[in-house]
Amino acid sequence: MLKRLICVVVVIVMLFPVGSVSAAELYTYTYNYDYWGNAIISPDGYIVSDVINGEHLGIGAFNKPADLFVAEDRIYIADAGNDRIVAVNADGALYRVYDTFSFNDEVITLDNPQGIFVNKNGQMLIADMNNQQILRVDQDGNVLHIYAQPEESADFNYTGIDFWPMKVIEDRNGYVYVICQDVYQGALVYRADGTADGYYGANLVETTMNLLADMLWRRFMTVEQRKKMTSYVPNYYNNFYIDEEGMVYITTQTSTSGKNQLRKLNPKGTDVLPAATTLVAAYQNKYGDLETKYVNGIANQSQLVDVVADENGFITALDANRCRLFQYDSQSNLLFAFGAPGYQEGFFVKPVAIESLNGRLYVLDETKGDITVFSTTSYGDLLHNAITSYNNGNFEEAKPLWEEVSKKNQNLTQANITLGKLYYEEGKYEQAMAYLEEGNAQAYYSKAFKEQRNILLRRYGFPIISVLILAGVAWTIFKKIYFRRHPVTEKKKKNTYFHRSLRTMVRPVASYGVFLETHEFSVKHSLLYVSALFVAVCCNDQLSGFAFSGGGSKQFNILMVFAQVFGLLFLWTAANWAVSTLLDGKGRLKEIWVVTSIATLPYTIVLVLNTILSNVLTLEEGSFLSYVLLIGLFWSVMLLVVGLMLLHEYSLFRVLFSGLLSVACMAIVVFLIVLFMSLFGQIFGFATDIANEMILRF
Amino acid sequence: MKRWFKKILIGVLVGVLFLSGTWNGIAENGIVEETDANSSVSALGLADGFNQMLENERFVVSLHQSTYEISLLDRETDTVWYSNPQDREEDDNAYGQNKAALNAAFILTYRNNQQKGTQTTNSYSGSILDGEVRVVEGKTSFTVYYKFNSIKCVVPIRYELDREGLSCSVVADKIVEAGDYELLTISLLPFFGAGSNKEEGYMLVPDGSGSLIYFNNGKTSYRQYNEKVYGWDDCISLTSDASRKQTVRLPVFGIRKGQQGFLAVITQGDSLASVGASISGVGHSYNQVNATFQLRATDTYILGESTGSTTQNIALFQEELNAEELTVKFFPLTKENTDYSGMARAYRTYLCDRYNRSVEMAQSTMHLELIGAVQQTELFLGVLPITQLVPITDFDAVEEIVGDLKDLGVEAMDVRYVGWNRMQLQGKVTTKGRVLGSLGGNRGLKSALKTLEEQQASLYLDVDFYSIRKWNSGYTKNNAAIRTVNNKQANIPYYDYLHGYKDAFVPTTSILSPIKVSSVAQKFLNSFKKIPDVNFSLGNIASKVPSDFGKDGWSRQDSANAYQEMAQLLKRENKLMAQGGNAYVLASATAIVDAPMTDSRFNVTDISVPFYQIAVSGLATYSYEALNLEGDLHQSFLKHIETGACLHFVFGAEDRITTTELSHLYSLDPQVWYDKVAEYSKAVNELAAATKGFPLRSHRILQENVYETTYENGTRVIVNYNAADVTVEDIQVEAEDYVILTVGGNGNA
Repeated sequence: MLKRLICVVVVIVMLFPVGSVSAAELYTYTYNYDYWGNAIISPDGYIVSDVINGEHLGIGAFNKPADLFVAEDRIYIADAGNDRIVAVNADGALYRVYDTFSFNDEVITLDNPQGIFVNKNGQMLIADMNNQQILRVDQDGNVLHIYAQPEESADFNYTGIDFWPMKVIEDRNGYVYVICQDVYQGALVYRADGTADGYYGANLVETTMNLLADMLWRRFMTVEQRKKMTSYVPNYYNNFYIDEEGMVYITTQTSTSGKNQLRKLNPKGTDVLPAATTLVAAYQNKYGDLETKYVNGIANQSQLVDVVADENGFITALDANRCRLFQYDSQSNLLFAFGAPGYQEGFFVKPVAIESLNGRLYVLDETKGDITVFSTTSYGDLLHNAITSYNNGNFEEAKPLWEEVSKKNQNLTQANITLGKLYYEEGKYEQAMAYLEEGNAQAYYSKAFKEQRNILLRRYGFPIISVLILAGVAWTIFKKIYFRRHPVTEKKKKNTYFHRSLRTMVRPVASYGVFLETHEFSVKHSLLYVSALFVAVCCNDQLSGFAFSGGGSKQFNILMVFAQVFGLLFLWTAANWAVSTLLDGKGRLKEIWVVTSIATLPYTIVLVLNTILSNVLTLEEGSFLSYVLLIGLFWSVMLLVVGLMLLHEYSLFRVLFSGLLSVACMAIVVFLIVLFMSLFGQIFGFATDIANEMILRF
Repeated sequence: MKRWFKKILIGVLVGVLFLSGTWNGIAENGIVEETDANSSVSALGLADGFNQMLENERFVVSLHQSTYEISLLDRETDTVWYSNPQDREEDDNAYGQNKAALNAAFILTYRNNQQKGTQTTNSYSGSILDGEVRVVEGKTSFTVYYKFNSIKCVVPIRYELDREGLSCSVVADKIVEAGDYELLTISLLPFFGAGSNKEEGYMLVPDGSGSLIYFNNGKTSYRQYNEKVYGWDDCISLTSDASRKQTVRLPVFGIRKGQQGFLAVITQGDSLASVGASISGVGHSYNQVNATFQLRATDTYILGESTGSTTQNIALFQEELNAEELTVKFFPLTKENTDYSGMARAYRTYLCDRYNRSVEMAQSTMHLELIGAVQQTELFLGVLPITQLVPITDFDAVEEIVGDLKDLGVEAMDVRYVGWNRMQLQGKVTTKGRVLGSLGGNRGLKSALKTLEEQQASLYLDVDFYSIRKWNSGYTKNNAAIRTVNNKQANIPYYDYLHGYKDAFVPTTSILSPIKVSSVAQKFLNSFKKIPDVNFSLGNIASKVPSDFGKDGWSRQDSANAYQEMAQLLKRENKLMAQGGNAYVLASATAIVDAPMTDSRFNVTDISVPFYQIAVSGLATYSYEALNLEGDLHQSFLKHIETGACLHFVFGAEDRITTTELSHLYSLDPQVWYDKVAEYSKAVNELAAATKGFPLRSHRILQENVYETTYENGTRVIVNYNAADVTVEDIQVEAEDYVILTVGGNGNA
């Protein structure tokens, strides 16, 4: 709701054209995301180099092929609709078709093979779904072992209704992992000897506000009503990939928020994929497309269905819903997002599996029945090399590469951050700061800032301190001489309205008492104080050091700040007045306003202090700054409490109680405003729709 | 009111005629008197077989008495082209309407305006079986009138013969409609020259640079080819726009069957046409390609979009029929010219004849694009929009970059200068052509023109009369914006650059009506009276055609014609640059940037061929998307060598452009690219020295990923895209490399 309100404000504000130059034809179909999560165009990293289909291989078209595996320079295809496994050499020539297998001198066939895996010894593991078994087969088609539904035992409980194996992998120790339909505990594990050994990488139910609200509702529902509701099942794994080191990459089905659809599990089953540094926190751990599009009220978002990782740690995930590929580096930074739905090369209709071989990507499309082969472009190679050499610690080699990347794609946030880091390593802190600021890398910026500050201190520190000391000494001497000549007879006590306001900070009871006694409540002054707060908030936003503010200052909107400061305080005053009137408070509207405005002074001062300090301190040194702000806020609240106690002639408890009521009152008002605006929008839309329909239909 | 009156009048007239049952009455009173005086109505019900109708020294056209199919005899090649497959009765793969359509001269879609949805009929089942056909003969042409009983309409098709070939036209202004039925589209001669599933050959479709679909390629599971000529009409709303297709630039298609071939050119009504092709196994056993014309435009209005919950689409239809004559001309090709190269050469000849142009020697090898200024909007304090025109490359920088390129070995270049005019940058109607002061002003322009001339470089100022954000100079949205099918000012939404969704937060734009374009261009030109030696470059108007339904009788074709006229107006000193290069600007353009390098790589098509390049070669130099924005530089460079294209780079002197408006230009710094410019220029210069500016003659596929291009002076270029060396015809070509073979001896790359 609030978001919508903000949108409305933004729209009102944005009555000017942005980016509306009618775009020339697109140069590329590859994109990336900037720090704020906006899709931004990128040079192509991969282009289609070949398309393989069953007809070209001379074995008839693939029929709903389901899985792909690459081993020893060979591509294996689980051609599910044709009940066969097809092996193709890396050069695209047919190697062999496996449609019958021999098991103990018996000929057996497959029924809807959904998964294929080939181990180091060339043994195939086939998830023969409709036969409810997994076959271990050698290269000649002899079945070595059949894995069936695990038997119930004391320490193991198979939870599926039936045994429907979909995807299968094997680790170095001969453990076999199986993803089964309707099993939500994780991947089923078989020991090397073929006995079941529990579940791997248990998947957690995602706790969202929706889910919590839903659970609450369920408590009040009848059994029938409950049945009608969609049941919340845990997000279950839909596909996985195991790399040389035994790390398991997993894609997850149905995630409400779209987060953590991709995981990298260590042998213990914990997710070790780091959060990307190139994205704002709200989008971290989100893989696939960041934005969700609502079509007729239904969310359309990425659904990852397969993943592959190569020896350099580049992870490529496949999005079946939006027909796209997303390639990440080992630090979860997005390198390329590319692909779209359609009947063109490099476009997909229902992509189901992805593999990589010799730097190429192979994508299997179930509907089209073909494999699209992608190979890297010169830009793709450049970026890969740049990342690899940086990750290997070859900074000297990495720097020119990253410089080239930055020149060839100015839209890449990662290039700015990495170049910043490289300049930092070189000791060129000024350049480092510029790049890191561009890349929104606050923490690293702070480190560079510290070094740069040290240099400045070393260079100018001594003269500055000397001058300061000298000035201090001179001032002391001057004062002494001055007071000797002009002895103080009576210390004048400054007692203007402003001074009294300031004095509330240290002596709230006495100073507020004076205001109440004299009945001197200046609205003019109070507006000045609130304006000071407003200015301080703006300054804090715009002038704070980058290490503290981040790029957030770029999204600054003075109207929003104005609404926040003045609006909130007005609303508070009105609410408190309403509440206190009911609770026999003595204060009048004007008086509450003035008391409130005076109470803001400590916070204003602290804000200014915070702004100044944030420009000279590093993040580590300045970790106390947030506490300073908190103290300022607490101070202001305390002043407000004391002021209201005196004004309303309330006890402490009564002030707190009325304060809480006022806050509740404010919330209701805000809620009503939002509701009204939303309703108004709906009514307006409805009216225009009706009018349009009348015009068009009659 | 006028329109209503006319409609009612026609309706009443036709209704009366139908009621009185006098189909003869229509023929005698309405039609015959307008045809040739010597014409005679051919008698119906003669013996089976074809009757000779038209003849000249090369061709004989005959008409079948009962099926009204056409045969075209080419005496030069002894080939007969039939409008319908002769063995269609034996087709076991076609049923129902598909089978009936094999007999048809055209397929109609229509709607009953009292009902939802559209329906299809064809000339065979709707008219021959359930109606009546009459033939009216003329000296060099004859017209077949098809009367449809069920949908109460008459559609005349005229066949006309000349020395090059046979034209087939829908005489749209003589189409008679009655009752509740409205015609929507007409697919003309869908099976002309179609290849059966036993024949070998291919179909040429105009996807991007041109694309071949081999007969019987078995790709029946993919969507078949069907694309609008000149791309999407911006006047028609689009729910989402995520396409990455190449636009159809040329209104052509062709068939090569065995050793025979023809080229078909949509000579009239090209803007209303789309080209569709299908392979055997899709509904029948034939490989066919043809043109479909839009008789009435359809649009969709989405109800409930603003409330955002559920939406419903309402179909809107153009009220009046497009009264354009819609013509496809078939050019049968002679023996050595029957491949796609021959088709392209035939099209080049056609363009020369039609637009009165002659083939010239190519001069320049480089199309350099420079970004002058860019409009940047920043929010002051997050509220106040401050719009600035930020200079990127001023004229001093232009001279400097051109000088640098000259030093790097670029011999002759065309410089396209974009973003130099305040009105253009602000999205206004560009009625004045003053150069921004911050770029050097008119004085800077004059000095740059002088310097560039010394460097053998021509300057083209880019101008566009298309997208409008602010109205000015007496042009208002009400009087000068294009209007939609239901006569509303068209608001063009901004489609999210990458996902193709409508972005509701970006204000919509308007499009300047093509009706106004010439007068605006005239005003614009007045600013340049004192600078006669400057040339112009056209943006959107050379690559997009919008309809404007606001004016009665104005069709998309009229828009294209207006753009063609305007392009002629802006051609000075015999030079004009154009972006994209739609066929109508080939009447005047001498340089084309962003020309299609390849096809769209549709799954259903088999191979991309440089039809566009061969057709345009000699009329204009061409270049593709800027090389410095390409992901895969080398592949792209090889394509340039293969197709004899100019190099295209886009540079800016100020390379850090943080505005989103130009975020798609992600690598503008010229310094980064100078080594590539030098390397590629050397290669292109070598090629130019060998070809001596002669146009392309032909292109061949030697083996997979190995192509040979031949120039009119005999120079050959063999390009190998494979990752391994190949030897073709005793010539070794290294991996991802090329060889230039001159007529005298072997030049090497």
